[in-house]
Amino acid sequence: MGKSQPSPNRKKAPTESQILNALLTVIDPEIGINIVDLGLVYAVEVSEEGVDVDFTLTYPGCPLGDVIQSDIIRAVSEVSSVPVGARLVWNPPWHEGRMSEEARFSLGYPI
Amino acid sequence: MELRIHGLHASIEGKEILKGIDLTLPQGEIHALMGPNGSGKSTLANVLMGHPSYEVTGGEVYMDDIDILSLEPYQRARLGLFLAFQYPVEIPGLTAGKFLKRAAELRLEDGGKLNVSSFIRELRAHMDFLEMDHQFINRYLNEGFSGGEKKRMEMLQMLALQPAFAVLDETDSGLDIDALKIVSKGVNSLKGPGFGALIITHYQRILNYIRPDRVHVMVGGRIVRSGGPELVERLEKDGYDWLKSQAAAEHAKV
Amino acid sequence: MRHLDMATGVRYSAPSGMETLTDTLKNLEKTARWPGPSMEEWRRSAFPKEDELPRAAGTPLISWEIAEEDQDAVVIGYGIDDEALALFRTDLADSQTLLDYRHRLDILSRPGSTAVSIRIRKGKVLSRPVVLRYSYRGRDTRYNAHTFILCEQEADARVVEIHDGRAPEMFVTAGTHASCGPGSRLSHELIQNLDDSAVFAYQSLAQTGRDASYRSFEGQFGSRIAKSRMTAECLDKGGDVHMNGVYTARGNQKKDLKPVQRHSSPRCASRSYYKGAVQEDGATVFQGIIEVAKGAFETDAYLSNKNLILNDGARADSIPNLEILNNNVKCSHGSTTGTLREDELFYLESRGIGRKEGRAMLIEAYIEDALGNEQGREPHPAVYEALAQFLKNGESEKP
Repeated sequence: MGKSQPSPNRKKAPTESQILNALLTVIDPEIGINIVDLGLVYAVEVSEEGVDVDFTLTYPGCPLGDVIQSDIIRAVSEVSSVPVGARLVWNPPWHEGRMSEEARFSLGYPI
Repeated sequence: MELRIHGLHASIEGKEILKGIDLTLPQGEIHALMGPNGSGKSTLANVLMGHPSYEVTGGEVYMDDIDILSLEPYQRARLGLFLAFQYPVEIPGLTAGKFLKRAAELRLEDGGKLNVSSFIRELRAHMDFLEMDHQFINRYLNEGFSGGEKKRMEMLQMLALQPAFAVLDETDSGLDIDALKIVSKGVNSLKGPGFGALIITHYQRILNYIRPDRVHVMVGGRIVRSGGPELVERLEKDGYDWLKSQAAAEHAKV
Repeated sequence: MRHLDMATGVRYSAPSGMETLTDTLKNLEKTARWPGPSMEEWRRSAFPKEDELPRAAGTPLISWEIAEEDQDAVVIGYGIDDEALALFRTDLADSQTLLDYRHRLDILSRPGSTAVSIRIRKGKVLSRPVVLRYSYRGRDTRYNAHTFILCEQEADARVVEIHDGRAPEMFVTAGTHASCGPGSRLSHELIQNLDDSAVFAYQSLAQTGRDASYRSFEGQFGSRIAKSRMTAECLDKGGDVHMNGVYTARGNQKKDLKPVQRHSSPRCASRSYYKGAVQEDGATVFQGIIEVAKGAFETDAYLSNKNLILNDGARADSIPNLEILNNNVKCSHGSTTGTLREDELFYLESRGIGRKEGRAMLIEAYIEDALGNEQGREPHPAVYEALAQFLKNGESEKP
């Protein structure tokens, strides 16, 4: 089985695990917990053309949409040589049940 | 490391309760402190932890060469001292989980961050070990807990915090045999070179399950006798009277 | 959920009757007096005199959020519609002071920039709360703001009303009128976290119809003086009212709250549960009351007030009242005042939690059950933001 060397100019999409690790570094500044554990990451689409992340916020009117969006783009861009986009979506509405157990516990919710 | 108590005198509301306590508890050992009611055993436990109602009028207590009597209770706790209360308070509105998480965070070195998922996992393991329903994490601390549940919660805290020295203030009082066995399991699971425990008890029952390396008897605010585990059998057989009269006689001589 | 743009909200045109009401108010204004110590409700806090307060009128910055899937269920806009105007008339007898008449006149003169009307359509159940925010930013400025909530028959909604803003010496008068149609359920939260130098005066009236349910939460945290009267009135049988409140006073702040459980109809139930925490030189007054009309038999009403005093010099007065004009009722009230328990603090300290932090944890624990999270409803984050400020200003020593 031959191995093809990627040409130096060809852009490479990151792996799912690279993206996940990058997203784990994006922290919601109001809460202090990363957006993955908060259940704010709704979808990640990867292709040779780019990476698109759909995310939401914990409550309507949360003023951090721009900050989190740029943090997502910055963090994922560090592992991606293809373009990265992040989109704020509101459906389905976020609720506390979407948080990981760690996030729930950290915030004082029953586990 | 040792917990060394030298000539400790303490009073409450002007009345002297501890009249010169000397006791050394090395890590790696379990000591029992027995004595009749009113001898000052609980006072000793509370004074070690720094309860504000008591006034220390003399003596020192060293933990790793630091005189902890000059420290606030929270500082003593962070150094590794733990007190299992005889009557743990109920704090409605504060969940056991939130409380334990904060206490665990404070045990970490400066700048250390608690790994929440490991913490939850370990907490659940400790709760299984102590045969506690996991729902206790979500309940308000001690609120509506039975006596046995409160004592188990004290043990859970001890296991979660891994203290260097644990003082158990009549942890066995009011417990049935099953609860007693579980509390003993908790203490025994920590036994090791990095852990020292002072089991304060009126009855010797718990000492059937936690074997002490050394036994001290307190009467009238003083330690009147220290010995090996065989002292427990003597007390079980003869009660405290022989020591009380002996102590009175010695005191009269002075 | 889209942020509804200011431009996309409905703009109500002036309803008929506004002129008449304006005339009525102008007449009442002539003989009314500024709130002062001679008035029962106002004599326990020294509300500033009119000439001590700013006159320059400003307009609050108003914004709201409604979930996308709720947009068919809610009609929201600037101004007052006919039904809202009718509500504005209902309690004129209650509004006894010059302050209140002037507030209403100001709202009527420019409703498009000071009033918001929210209507929840018949039978609709909102999936998310409607969050309405009034932000005040002008120093030395006078503001008026008013909210109308019309919850139609069988509708189910939660409306969060936030008043906040940082600028020195503001004077804000705000009000809410709500009507709960038959079988409807309305949860109304009022959160006030204005600058420490602000003066805040608030009145609200919520009326419940047959088998309607009204739950209110009042969070009074900011301002140097905050005076509030929230009234829940049962107009028809089967009304079910729960009024929760949390108030804090630190520094030199004063809070004066009067929740009113008004039973104008038989066979209704009401509960109030208000908790306050006071520190430094803060002072609070609770003067809640249960009013039972002559014909309101089989009323079941209970009032509860608890206060936590955090240091010598802080003060919490609890003066609950009952005005019962019918014998066939169950009414009672209870109030307690306490301090932080030393044994609880010691317990926390014995686990390594420093005194200052332990104190904050105990205050939070104390307030917890009055935050109104029944039915799993989490308080709006604004409550925790406001509370964090109170907890921060405590004993100054580390840790």
